[in-house]
Amino acid sequence: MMKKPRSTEKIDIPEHQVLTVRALCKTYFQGDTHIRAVDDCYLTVERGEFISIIGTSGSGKSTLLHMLGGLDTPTSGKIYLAGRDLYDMSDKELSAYRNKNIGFIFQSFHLLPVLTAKENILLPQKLAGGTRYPHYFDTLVEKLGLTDRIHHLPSELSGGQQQRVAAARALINKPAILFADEPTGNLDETSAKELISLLLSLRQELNQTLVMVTHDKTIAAMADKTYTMQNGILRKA
Amino acid sequence: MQQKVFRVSLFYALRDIRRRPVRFLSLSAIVCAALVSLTLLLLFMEAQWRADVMPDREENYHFTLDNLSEKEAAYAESLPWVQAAYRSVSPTNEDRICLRIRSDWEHCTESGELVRELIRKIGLFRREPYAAMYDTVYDGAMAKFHAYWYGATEANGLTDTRFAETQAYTHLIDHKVTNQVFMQKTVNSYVIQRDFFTLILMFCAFTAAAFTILIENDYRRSFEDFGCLRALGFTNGHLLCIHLIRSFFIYISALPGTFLVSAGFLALFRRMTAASITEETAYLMDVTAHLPIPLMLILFSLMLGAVLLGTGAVCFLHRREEIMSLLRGVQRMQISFVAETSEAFAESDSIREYGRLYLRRSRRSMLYTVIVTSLVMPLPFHLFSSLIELLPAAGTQEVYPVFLYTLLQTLAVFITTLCITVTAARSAVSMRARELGILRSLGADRDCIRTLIYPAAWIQSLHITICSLFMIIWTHIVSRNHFDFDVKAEAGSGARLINTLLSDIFGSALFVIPATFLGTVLFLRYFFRTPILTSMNDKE
Repeated sequence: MMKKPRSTEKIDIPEHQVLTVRALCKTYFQGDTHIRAVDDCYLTVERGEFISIIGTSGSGKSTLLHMLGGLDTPTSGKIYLAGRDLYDMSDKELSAYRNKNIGFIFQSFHLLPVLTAKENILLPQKLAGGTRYPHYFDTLVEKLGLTDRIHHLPSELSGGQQQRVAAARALINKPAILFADEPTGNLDETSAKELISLLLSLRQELNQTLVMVTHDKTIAAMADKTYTMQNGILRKA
Repeated sequence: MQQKVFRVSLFYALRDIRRRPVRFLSLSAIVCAALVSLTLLLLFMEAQWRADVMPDREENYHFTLDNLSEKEAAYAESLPWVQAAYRSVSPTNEDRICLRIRSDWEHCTESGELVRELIRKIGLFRREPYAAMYDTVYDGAMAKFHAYWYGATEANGLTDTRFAETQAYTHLIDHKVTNQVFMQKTVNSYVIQRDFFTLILMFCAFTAAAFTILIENDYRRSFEDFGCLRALGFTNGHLLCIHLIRSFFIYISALPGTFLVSAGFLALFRRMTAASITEETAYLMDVTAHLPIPLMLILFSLMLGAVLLGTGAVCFLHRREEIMSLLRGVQRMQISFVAETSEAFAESDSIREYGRLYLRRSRRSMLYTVIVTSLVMPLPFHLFSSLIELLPAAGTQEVYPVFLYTLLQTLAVFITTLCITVTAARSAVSMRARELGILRSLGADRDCIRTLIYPAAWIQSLHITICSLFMIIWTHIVSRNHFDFDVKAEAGSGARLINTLLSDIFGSALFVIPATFLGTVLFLRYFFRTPILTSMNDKE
């Protein structure tokens, strides 16, 4: 396998800019024609900001979020997280970076079925070496109202509880940036409201950056900036 | 760093083992126990077989010459066929010179330098497990030799060295002193020969292939979990470590089962062949005598290596899987493929065209199935050819137990191979469950699905047959001296080669094609009973 050439480009990114996206494209090849799921996207997110991205299904917003979080590879363009080119890192570096600096909340929770709620939450911390923020678990669990459910397996929890466990897992390493892909999509209205208010209060407490993809215009309206995505093109709302 | 990777992988692997539904783990442990037992018992059989056959070939004897002058003793010691000479003290204080005759070390150890060094280090060859039996058995054998020796010298009135040498040779060749001591010693020399390691390698390939299929099935069922782990920051190295730890524990948990199966099989075999086993040959049923503990440790380590190799191969194959594909719980199906097939439908409106395109797209996974399944084939056919070789003499009292043993083992290996082939075929087609579910939801009926699946099954089974054939023939070439004794020598070499080739071609085709179709049919049976939505979600 050919080794990916390292970029020699050096850019100056102000310290308050936690996420910088330049000319990002994701193209799926369809015979002779191309489908641009994400088309020439530019984005700048400052530390502590809450960004929401709304758009119709298939507009490319989840694809964009996955690329921003290092879960999917762009066809072209650059993503700088805290000044580091995300896709210039090796798999090992990117994995370590994702573990320590990025939190991800998925619509369908993606909890590990063989681990209890506590083990699910603590897993990223264990992966990071286990010494980071040793007492944060108790605080987080209490805030998220999971104290009496931490020894249960995901299959024994309700949807709302599972999503709170997923949120705790995403936050346990106090990541600089939190990505949420329609986190309320599988929740009822009450659970959705609870989760969003919890995420926002924790964000303020830790001065975290939150990038959320959502269909819910009420949630989108709470954000500092709202972007719309249409046919792969990102625009400020 | 490595320690950190291991610690977090161990954390996850142990919980995975404890809390996962027992089906996979118990199935894996059973398969593992069966494979290791088969290996152990087959190698034991090989060793036993060699014990019967090889004393005639290796001149592996001790004998004693009495009342020799110093000059004669020196002469005897210098003979090329004498490996060692030593003086023994007899009760009558007669001066006896004992000679040990055997092929030299280099000749005995046809295996590579590495293997030789390993065996030297663990002291397998120096161990001499026959020592405990030496006193009781040696006397009988030597008395027989002495009677012959004295009879010969008295009748001729000669005591010269040349005569002693001739008599010794005559005795070795004509009388073939095959007492138990010699057999044990022969086995010791057999286990360090190339044939033995070829057989072990075949077993390792068999085990690795079986485990690859087992782990591959499990891996695909756990895509979502692994995607989640990757999203949390686990690297491919972590996933590999998790799988290796899990396989290691499965292997360890299978070992008690291995011993139970082996003991049970031997007990059954003893009962079945009770009439043919004499007191003299009863010891041949003792596995530990033939496969001493150090050798068994080597075997278990090699089998563990095969299990871990099979597991590692699966992780290696999936190392480039996108995290999002894993999280979605399905294998990557590119948009380009869907688009390409849509165009094909528009032009030809043919399900066959769709199938052809799919085959082209999925050739990599088919190649993988073909390689893995082909690796399994040499062993059963190798055993089958041994069985055929033994068939003419199967009725005799000497060969009957060996024949029966080979028959039972061959059956066991064929059943295991059948299970592996069927599982591999089923697994290959079950990868298409989601796609087939979508086609059904669009109105494709059962005939349409069969039209799509069966040609692919044909192509796959033909490829497996051809690859298996090459593997089987290669095995025959590697182990061409393996059964080089009287029963086999009767047939001419040209005729034998053609017979072997023909039986391999027909045998592999007759075995592989039905097994592949059985796997396909079993999947389709399950698929047609499954709700369309479940298939579309790719959940088994």
